[in-house]
Amino acid sequence: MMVHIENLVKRYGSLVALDHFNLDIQEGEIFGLLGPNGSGKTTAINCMLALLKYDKGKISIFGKEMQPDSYDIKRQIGVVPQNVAVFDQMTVYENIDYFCGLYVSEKDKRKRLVEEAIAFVGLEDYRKAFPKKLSGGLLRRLNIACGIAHQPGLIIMDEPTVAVDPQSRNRILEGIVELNKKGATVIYTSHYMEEVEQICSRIMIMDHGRSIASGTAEELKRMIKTGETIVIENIVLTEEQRDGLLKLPHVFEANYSEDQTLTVKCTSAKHNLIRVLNYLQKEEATFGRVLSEMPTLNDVFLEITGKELRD
Amino acid sequence: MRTTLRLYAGSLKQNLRQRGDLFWSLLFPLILGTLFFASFGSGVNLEEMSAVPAALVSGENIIFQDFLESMDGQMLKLSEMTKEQAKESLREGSIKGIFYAQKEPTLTVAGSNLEESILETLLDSYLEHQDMMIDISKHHLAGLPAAIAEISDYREMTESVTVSGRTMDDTVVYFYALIGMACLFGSFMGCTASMNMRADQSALAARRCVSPSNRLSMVISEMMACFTVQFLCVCVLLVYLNFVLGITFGEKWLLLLPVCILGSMAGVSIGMFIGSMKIGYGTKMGVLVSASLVMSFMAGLMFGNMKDIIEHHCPVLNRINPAALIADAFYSISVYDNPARYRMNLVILAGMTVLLTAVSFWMIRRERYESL
Repeated sequence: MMVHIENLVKRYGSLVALDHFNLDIQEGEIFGLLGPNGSGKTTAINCMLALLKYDKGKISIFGKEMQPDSYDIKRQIGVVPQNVAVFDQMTVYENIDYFCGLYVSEKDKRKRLVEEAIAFVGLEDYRKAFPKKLSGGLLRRLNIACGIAHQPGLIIMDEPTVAVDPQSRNRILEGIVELNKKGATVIYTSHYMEEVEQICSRIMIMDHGRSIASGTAEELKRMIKTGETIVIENIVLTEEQRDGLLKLPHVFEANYSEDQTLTVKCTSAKHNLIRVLNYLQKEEATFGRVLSEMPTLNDVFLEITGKELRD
Repeated sequence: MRTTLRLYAGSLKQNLRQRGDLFWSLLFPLILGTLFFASFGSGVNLEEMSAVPAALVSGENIIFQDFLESMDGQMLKLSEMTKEQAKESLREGSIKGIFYAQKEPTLTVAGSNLEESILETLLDSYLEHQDMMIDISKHHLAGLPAAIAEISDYREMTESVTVSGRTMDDTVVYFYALIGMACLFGSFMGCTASMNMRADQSALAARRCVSPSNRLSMVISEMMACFTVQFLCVCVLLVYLNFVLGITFGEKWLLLLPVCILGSMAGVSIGMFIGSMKIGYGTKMGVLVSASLVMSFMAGLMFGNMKDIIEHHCPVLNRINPAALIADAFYSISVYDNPARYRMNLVILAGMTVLLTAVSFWMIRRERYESL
């Protein structure tokens, strides 16, 4: 087990930030911690890194208990913090070299690693630029380069794509997958479910400092009742016709809104869409666009907590 | 060791590019020095120095009386008085010292300023040549006036004063206080360095805290980098004052360097101490600016006699005020020629630096934080 957290409790006065939180991460995973702002993701990371005091629990990384002076463990960890943490007075190259230098003392090796990190995040044209001259996306890339330049075995990324343009975001996500392919285990926190779903091999959904569900994206989606959501626009339906929809097999919810949009929720089964459309044809209902959506992690979160992930 | 050196090099580079801190450490003292120079000119001309008022209480030592009388109107404004009258005048402040023309001449002064220092120099000069003059009075009485004239020559006297490293420029106290202030402004750099090491103060600090770098190495490298930059800034100030503005620091100018070294270290350590506290950035800056200015004021930056007033009423403040210690160390070598006092100032500055650095390290090395 690369990371093991057991019964972690962290309180800020009366607020419980982590409530008997448990986590196990295997080597080679891209593990996603997904949850709304304030759910305890960053607090868990900071406890893991021995930055924060906690009230109860155990944390071990690489099989050893994590302490502030666990330099042998820290040497194998790369951290990309949520806020950009670089020196404004140093150039892109100098910043990466400085942070890499905290882990790697050999000059030649460091030079090679810094060059690789620059190429990895695509900052070749900005080596001599100062952070203030970089756009938000480039700054985020620099932040990542500073955290991964020493090629650690465990990389912890805390919301690395916040306020990043789509181009940079894609580059960052592709980079994380590439790092993982090279052998790094990645812990990735985010409140963007699409990102987590796209790159993570296993996901934990957090809320109020607790783990509310964990597994692969597919496993998480199977945990909920909704298997398919069918949305039909510009449709005119009577009350009886809507009740008729609810009698179809696997349909458990049919909502008809004032803007003439029908939303039908079905459990996971084959041919749900065909059955619904056949029914509407038989009832001679006219309609516009038809959409069929598989459940998202937001649906998982919504069904478990009763609120949207982005709330 | 290699890690410490690498951290030092990184911090040095960063500090040298930190424009905000460099303004306070380098530019501001240069600007203030220029303004002082514009206000005071290049100092008081020795030729125009007014005579120091002193009393002479007559006694058996005729040679000493003749010696002093020969100085009357030049360096001295001498008045013959009884012992009681002289004491009363000294209390009132109308005279700066009382010479007792007894067999072993003595001097009583009520302060330790430049004028009292001149009186002490006169007495020292006489005592140095006393045996020679007694010998002349016994065997070559006719040559006595010439001998007195020789040792009491005004120019020679002032020259000897200069040779011993003393300066007679009253305004120089402002420049000494200015150097003290410049040293204290190293606190801004120290504060920034400290904040960059506490995980609960900045994201940058948190990133450094999760690295495998030893905390002590980090603190030492940061402190040394700040000190290096600050010391360079103070050296630039000294060079500017001396070679551009023409402010002289006496012949023993090399002794100024240890003062600047320890002064810069004390300034940086004060900043590190404030920076290591868990208070907001604005509050820290407010504390540093006001503390630096108040300490500089107490050292005589805005009012030259302030340090002496404090010395008379609450001398302990002068012993714990780094700006006053720096200014006094300068004064000790260039005016008082008092190595013991100079050394004492350096020892206190060193002790202060060690204490503040130790406390800062203790606060920065905090292992885990309650909140970030």
